[in-house]
This record gives sequence, structure tokens and C-alpha cells, in this order.
Amino acid sequence: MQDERMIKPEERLPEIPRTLFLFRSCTGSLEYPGTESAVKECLGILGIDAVMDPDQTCCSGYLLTCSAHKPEVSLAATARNLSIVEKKHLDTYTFCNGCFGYLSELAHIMLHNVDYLHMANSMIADWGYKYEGKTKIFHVQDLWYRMKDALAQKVVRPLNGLRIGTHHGCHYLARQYRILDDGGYPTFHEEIIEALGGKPVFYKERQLCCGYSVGRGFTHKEETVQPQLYKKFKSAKDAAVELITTVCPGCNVAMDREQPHLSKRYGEEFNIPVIDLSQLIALALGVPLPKLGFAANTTSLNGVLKKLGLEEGS
Amino acid sequence: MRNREKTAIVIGAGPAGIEAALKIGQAGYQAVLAEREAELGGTLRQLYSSFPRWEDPRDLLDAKIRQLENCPRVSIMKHSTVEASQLHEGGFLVTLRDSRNGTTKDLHVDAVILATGFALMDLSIYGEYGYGIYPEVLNALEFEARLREWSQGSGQAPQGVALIKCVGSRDRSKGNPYCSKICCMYTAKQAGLVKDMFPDAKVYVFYMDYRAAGKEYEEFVRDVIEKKHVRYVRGRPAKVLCENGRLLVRAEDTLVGLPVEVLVDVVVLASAAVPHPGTRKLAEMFGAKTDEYGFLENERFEPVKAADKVFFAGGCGFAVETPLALQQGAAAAAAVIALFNTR
Repeated sequence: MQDERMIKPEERLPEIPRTLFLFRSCTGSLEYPGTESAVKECLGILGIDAVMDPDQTCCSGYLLTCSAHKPEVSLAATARNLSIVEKKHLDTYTFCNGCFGYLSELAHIMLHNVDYLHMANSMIADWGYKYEGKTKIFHVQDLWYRMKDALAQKVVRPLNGLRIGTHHGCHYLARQYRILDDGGYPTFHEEIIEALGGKPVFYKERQLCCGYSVGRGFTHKEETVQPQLYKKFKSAKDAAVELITTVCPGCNVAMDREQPHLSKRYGEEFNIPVIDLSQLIALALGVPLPKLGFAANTTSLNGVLKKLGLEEGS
Repeated sequence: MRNREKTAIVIGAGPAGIEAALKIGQAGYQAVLAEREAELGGTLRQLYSSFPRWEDPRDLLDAKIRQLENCPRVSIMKHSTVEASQLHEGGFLVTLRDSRNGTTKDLHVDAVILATGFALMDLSIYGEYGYGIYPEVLNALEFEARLREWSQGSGQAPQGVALIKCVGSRDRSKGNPYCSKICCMYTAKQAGLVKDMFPDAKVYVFYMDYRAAGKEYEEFVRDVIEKKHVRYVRGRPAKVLCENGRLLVRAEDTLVGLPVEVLVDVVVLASAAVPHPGTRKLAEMFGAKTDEYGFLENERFEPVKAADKVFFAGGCGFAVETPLALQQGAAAAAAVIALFNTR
């Protein structure tokens, strides 16, 4: 009747790629450059080559959600980006839930509506691009979960039971079909954290949205984003969470950058650092700290690094 | 007189199967009532009360079983599952396996009535409601057992209970597109029973709309709302969370347009009714058709006939309330008797 909702990692990723196309993210590469760098370091440790291309542009999800342009234009941008990957005969790996969500959704629209595919292709044909739908779209978390055991074996800095809360983000789970976990109660990040020696904490508002939803992050900060985040951080603090991981740089922006505003508005200090799951993995795999770019975080990580016996700069 | 030796097998001894076997036996033909479990009664036996008259369903079952025992032409075979069937001298040769010792037995029958009932959908796919994660999130049948425990004075008295309707029904994205039909009524019944036992408990029913189409049904639900003071909240809960050992249901009251949160001790999910897993296999065995979900399909203009000499009754066709199961059982029996009377 319908596709299976949850699939095993072996089914989602039957073979571990030797080379993949790493799709850059506007936020994950610029706002938090440590995210991109951590992903590349982890891939290097796992022996997987990451190919990138300066010709690749933004996934355009940001502008589409803000209604800055018509969806048709986004289709063309997606077709163009994916055609670059197809020329290299690789699969696309994103490290941002937003890129993952938009690429999968727009690719689905084009591949199931021939007219849209023709329209997008006619817009990019002048520059010699053609999208055929051959590249598959993954998020690096698919790969991390698939290679959980391999990662566990390569841990050099065990997380020593650090109390880590997760934030799964909406765009991966909202796809709902053929994903690694149940969108209603996901636990696969927790499993990865456990494999790295951390202690996953199921805080009450674990699944509450970051509230950012791109457009609202700019327009409705006081009305929606901050109350939402206050609720979330309050429950994380009650559960003694020491660190929160995300897989979406957008969520990271909301949860990291907003914390000083929350303290000012609600008169309550949280100081819970928020980093990308890939940064946490890289940390456990012994990647040198300068390559993880924690200096870009508004909420400092020092407490956590001290606990792991590390100091910024080592 | 040759007709008098004719035998029908009734597969499944819930209310529909019992009624069918009883009527065939009373009409003077042989009936074999095969039941997988150790006890007769099917889903009905698991229920604590009934709508719209708040009667104990076991009274009905006991009365029917007494009638069966007084009917020598009905033989009851418990612990029996149908393993195979083949066409044989104008009827079927049915192989029954005894689940206790694994022995098999072949029976020559002239007609078959399928009455395998319905099952409840596995709700673990609704991770947001925490079924299978939080022990106090129950499906409707588990809650019937809890009601019986409470009535016997065991178990912790609840301060709050939330009942969520249409879980798996009328949900095109995750569950089934159809309405399971019986949930509106049994949810009202369950909510009312909690209020009867624990008048101080807060009882909430989260609903999309309620469908009380039936004799005395609308009055029943209105009584539960107005006289027993069960709080009906129109809106589908988004999430069930654990808070200090209790359960927090987060929803929207769509009539007010505001998000609501209620703290309760037990959450009951009115699960969609789905065909019993074995029904499709049985249907294939006897050449009957099933629909896309696995419920049995009737032949055109023959409401209880699934194939030549194969009839069905009760929940294996679609979810039914008890009186309708009895009616369908009787109708299937009538069809078998008519077949046996025709030379």
C-alpha cells in the first residue's frame, strides 16, 4: 500500500561508499564552519573520500521558506546542483537537515512530474546542465548510524558518560518514509552517542522544535522562538543535560545564538552548549580541537571540554 | 434423509461464530465450531462492559455457551487451527491442528463459515503517543482488562485518564484511511466506566468528531458527556510525554483554538480495527476474496457469501459491534441452511 516508514540502515545504505559528494550548507559551512570541517575529518578517519565542487550553490531552501522567490526557481537550482553531482557519478550527502529536506522534496517533485523536470532542465540547459535523477540523497547521519560500530572502534577520547541531549530536527524526520527511525520517537542519535561512550539523556522536550523555522527566526523571535526555546532549555536543564547535539545547522543557530537572549529575557542562565553531532563524533575520534571550530559558538564549550580533560587549543 | 448428515465448519468462536454454529445445529445439521484459543468468546470475552446498556458481555457469552452445550449437533473443538483445505466430494477436506500436541485431524465438511474476527492495529508506529515505550499507554483491549482490574479493587486508582480516538483510523499518512466504526462508542463506554468507578478522576476524550449512528447510541454518548461529565476535547493530540512518572498529553483544542496540556495516569488509544493476520491466509485456502486491507469481501448481492459454499460473519468482514456480529452469524447460518436444504 505504501512504502515502509522505517528501514534498517543496511537497507537505506546497502554499501558504504568509498567516495561521496559532500553538499555544502550555507549555515553549516559559514556560520559554524566547524561542522563542515568535522564531517570531512570523520570521513577521512573512516577512509571515505569527500568530493566537493565550488560550482555548487545554496540548496535555496532558506529563500524558498521565506517566500523570497517562486518554487519553480528553486526546482532549477536543485536540478543544477544535483546535475553537478551526477556528472561525477556520486551520491549526494548533506550535513544539514534543511539541505536534505529540500533536495529530497524538490527532487521528488521533479521525478514524479515530468513537466516540472522539463521546466527545470530547460532553465539550466543554456549553461550545459541536465538533471536526470540518478544521484541519491542522504544525510551524513545516515552514514554515521550505518557505521556506528566502526565509529565506536575508532574512539580515542571516550565521552566518559557526558550527559548529552539530542535534537533531531524536523526536516529529516518529516520525510516520514524510508528513514532510519520513527519520526514520532526517534532514538538513533542516542544510539550513536552511546556507542561513543556518552550518556544519552531523554529530556522531556527532546523533540520540541527549535522554533526557528527560518522565516520566524527573523520575524517572530519574541513571539514564538524564544518561548519555545525557553521551554526546551528548561526541561534540558531539569534533566541535567550538559551538551546538546543537532544535525541541522539551522537548529544550531537558534539554540546556540539565542541563549544569551533567553537569559536576559527570563532571568535564568542555561549555558548548555549546542554542537553538531558530527562535531561530537570528531571530538570522540580525536580530531584536534582547532579543526572543530568551537570558537564560533556563542555558548562556550569550556565546561564540557574540561570534563573530557581537554582545554581549548590542545 | 441424506441431507441431514451435512456438516458445516465454523472457524472462530466469537459471538458471530457461536451464533452461526448454534443456528446450524438448532436447524438440525452438524456444525463443528473450531476455536484457536482455550476459551470460547473471542474479543467479546476480553471486554468489561458493553454499549449502549452497560451489560457484562460475559453474561451474554455464558447464555450462548449454555445453549451450545444443550445442542448435541454442535461439536466444539478448542485449541484448533485450520492448517489446510482441499476440495473434496463437493465440499472441503479441512485439516485441523491441535495446538497443544500438534496432532492433526481431517474433517469432511459441506460448507464453511469464516468468523475469525478483527484485531487491533499495532500502534508502536505512533511513536509520538509512546505506545510500547510508556507502560501506561494502553490500547483499547488492554484498557478493558485494566477496567476489570479496577472493578475488582486492584491496581492504583487513577486521578486522570485520557482517551485518544482515531489512532490508526482515518489517517491516510500513517494508518488506515477507513473509519473503524466501533471506537466512538467503546471510547464513550470506557470513559463513562472510569467516571462511574472514580467520580473524582478527570477523564478526557480527544476526538475529531464522534459518530454515534445506531439505536440508542447518540443518547448514550450524550449521557456520558452530560451526566457523567467526561470532558470531550476536539483535537488530535500531538504528543504524549512522560512527566514526573505521569503522562502529559499535548494537544490543541480546535474549538477554542488553543494548545492544551493535560496530566493523566493512563492514556488509552482507540486503535484501528484491522483484519486478523490469519484471515487472508484462510481466505486464500477457501478461494474467498479479500479487500486491500485483508477484510473478507462478499459476492455481489450476497452479503455473507465470500465464495462457493464459503460464508463469513463478524469482524473478519469489517469491525462490528456485538449485536451486529450476532446478526451476521445468524445470517451466515441461514445461508448455510438454505444451501443444505437445496438438493
